[in-house]
Amino acid sequence: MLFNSYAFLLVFLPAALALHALVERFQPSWRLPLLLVLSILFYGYWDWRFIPLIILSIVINWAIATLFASTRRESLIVIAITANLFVLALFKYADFFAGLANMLPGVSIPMLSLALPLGISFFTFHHVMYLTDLRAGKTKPFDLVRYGLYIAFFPQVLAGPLVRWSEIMHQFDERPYQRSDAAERFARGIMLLIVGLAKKVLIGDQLAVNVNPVFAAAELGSVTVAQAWQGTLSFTFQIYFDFSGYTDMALGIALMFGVVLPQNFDTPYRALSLQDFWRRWHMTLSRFLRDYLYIALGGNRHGLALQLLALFATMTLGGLWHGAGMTFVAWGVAHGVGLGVCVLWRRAGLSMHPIIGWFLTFLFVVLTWVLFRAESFQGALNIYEGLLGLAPLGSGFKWRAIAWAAVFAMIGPTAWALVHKPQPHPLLAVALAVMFIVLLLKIGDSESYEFIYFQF
Amino acid sequence: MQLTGTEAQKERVAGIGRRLGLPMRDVTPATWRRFVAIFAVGAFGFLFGLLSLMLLIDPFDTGRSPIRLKEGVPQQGPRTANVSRGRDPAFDSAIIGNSRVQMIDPAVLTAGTGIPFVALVVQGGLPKELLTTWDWFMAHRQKPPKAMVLGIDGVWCSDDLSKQANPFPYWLYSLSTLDYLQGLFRSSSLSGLRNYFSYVIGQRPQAPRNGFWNYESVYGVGTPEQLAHMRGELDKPQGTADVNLGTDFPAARAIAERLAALPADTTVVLVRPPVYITGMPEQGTPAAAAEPVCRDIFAKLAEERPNTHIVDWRLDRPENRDPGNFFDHTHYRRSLAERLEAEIVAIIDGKRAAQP
Repeated sequence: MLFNSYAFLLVFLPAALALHALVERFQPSWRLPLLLVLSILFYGYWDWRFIPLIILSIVINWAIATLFASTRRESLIVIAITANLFVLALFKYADFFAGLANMLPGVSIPMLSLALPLGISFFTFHHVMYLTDLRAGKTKPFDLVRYGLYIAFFPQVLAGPLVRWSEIMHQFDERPYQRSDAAERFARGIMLLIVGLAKKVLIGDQLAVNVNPVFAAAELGSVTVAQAWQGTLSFTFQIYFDFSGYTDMALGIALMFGVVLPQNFDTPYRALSLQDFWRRWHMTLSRFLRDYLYIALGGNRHGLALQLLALFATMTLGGLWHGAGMTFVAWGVAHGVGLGVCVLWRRAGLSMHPIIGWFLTFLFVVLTWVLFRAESFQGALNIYEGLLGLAPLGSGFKWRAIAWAAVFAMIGPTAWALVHKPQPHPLLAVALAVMFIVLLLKIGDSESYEFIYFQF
Repeated sequence: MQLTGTEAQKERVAGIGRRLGLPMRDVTPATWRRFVAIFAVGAFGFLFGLLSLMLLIDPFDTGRSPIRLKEGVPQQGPRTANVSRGRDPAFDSAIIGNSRVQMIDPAVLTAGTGIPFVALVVQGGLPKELLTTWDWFMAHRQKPPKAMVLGIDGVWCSDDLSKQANPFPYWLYSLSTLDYLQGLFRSSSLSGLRNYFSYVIGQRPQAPRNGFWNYESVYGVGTPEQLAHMRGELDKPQGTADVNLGTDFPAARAIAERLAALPADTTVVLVRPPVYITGMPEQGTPAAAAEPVCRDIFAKLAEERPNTHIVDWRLDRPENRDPGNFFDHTHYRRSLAERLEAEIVAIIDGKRAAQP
């Protein structure tokens, strides 16, 4: 179910909130089972055939965690993590690797063409985080309902944020509507939901109109300089408003159910270095990659060469995680190399003026988004030729939407900061109500673009 | 309230508050509860108020409201205006098709046959949209139509009935109230509401009731240079984009189903509109091989149902070699449309036998 659909906003969410409020008030012990059932319904709305997959995924991982708690056999965790990654690989990467293998002479592996279950990348990482911490003795086994909710909690199951067990498990045991700030949390949750929806519908989707034709044209042939810059800059901001808008909505919805999820974006296009960018962009993924991949690969504890290698491998795998395609790998490689250069720069004790640092970082990020968005290297190459002026100049550069998006993205404030301050004035409530309905009307107006991160 | 966030974020928020120096109101849980209540009542009140208003006013004249402020609808595109035309009881027969039958004047058919005709033409329309228009027209007839004229151009030979070239408001033509309500909820409906109010107070003209639009006013005859350019373009072979070399013709099947639902005394005229000779498939191409196959499919369809006729001008005939009859390869002038009209009238009046 899409957050920006009528089915969710006008039916599922109000009904879920009403049920949740009733249960929280009159039968608190049913609250978590209710949230779990709602989450499975939400997940299965898209395609009910994926329901068994997520249920099996939860039950098997929970059973192994419980068994591990009683036996302490570490092989169980290794097998579980391997199995999780295998399932992810089967659904997401089987055809990709088969395609690579088929490039070898004499090899002909059939394509499976399996439908990719939504959110599989995200819930696989949730399993991995929990199991790794369980093995390290940082956490304990939870009952099936709590574990299931940790994996499938509907605000975050499809596209994150990637939540650590330690950030959410204790919240499940609260009586959220008994807190003194319950109404304030609920109200600020509404604000976050609306701000996120506005970012997605009013900015992200408007930019998509500038992006899609350009990248489609680039797959077929060359594009003009104006088209290349329009498409690339528009995508730069589209992906930010699309994904951060989704995260804001997720945070807001969770807050309405009394659960605080972690932040995922912090004005990334104000970053002064590439390292700074990754501290601000998809923050929960960055810390996952850092804690469970980069550090596991040696991190910065074994010398510069290994550090650079770990960084490179982490970002390359991070790129592959975003999509089963060589363009995603190339995007990850570019960021791995970029971060490596930053490490060397710092190690050399060199400094850089913040404005130059911001410019170079932004330019690097913009240019690498081309690899992320293009469907093939040829398509990306055609865009790069346009960006570098190796194509006809063209005309009709649609700059207005880009300019507005740039102002909002760079000057801010973030949605989190925006909703944290307002006082509960009745006029603000009315304004939000009107805004909400206007956004619903806008959703109905155009084809409702899916969230970009749904495919990952 | 504490939300999670980085220290930098928290400090920034605190900084904003300090800089703004906003006076803190006396905020209690009750004021937040009131805030939430106002939002909920406001949002759902606004939502239901707006939907109720649009349902009551019915700006596209779908017939779902018990009241009607003014007959007809304001001037607008045919995709939305045809909803009102299609249910207009003043007409009991229709011309349905895309711009290839746009030039057939329903008033001429009416004058020639005595049957009131409406043109439900969707420019750029593909079979799916035109069949939807057909269904809407039929669903709003008290009695079966006396005659139906359907424009069958090349797009009806496709093997894909789901093809869509331009957006089409299927929700307006839906008989499901839920589909209609969901579709109605869009900001373009607000524009429709505004236009309708302008029309009610006389500030916007009415859309032509019988749906005829003479596109000569768009093309015009033009200057000699423009005319020469037009003829130069006509001389270039156009090619055929959609070639169905298979045996599946879903659009023909869909028409057959609809024809079967009509009483036998309803006259059906399937018009294969004129195409300038260079717009026809070139000899020896796959498109040329596919052409007679598709023609035979519709000819067989006409044979199998009584009172069903084909007016086939998609042929190599002298009129289709005269550039003076065309604006482009598939859009012809009134001079040719008049010939078509005469043939259709003759068929409906029973003065012309079905063509093979």
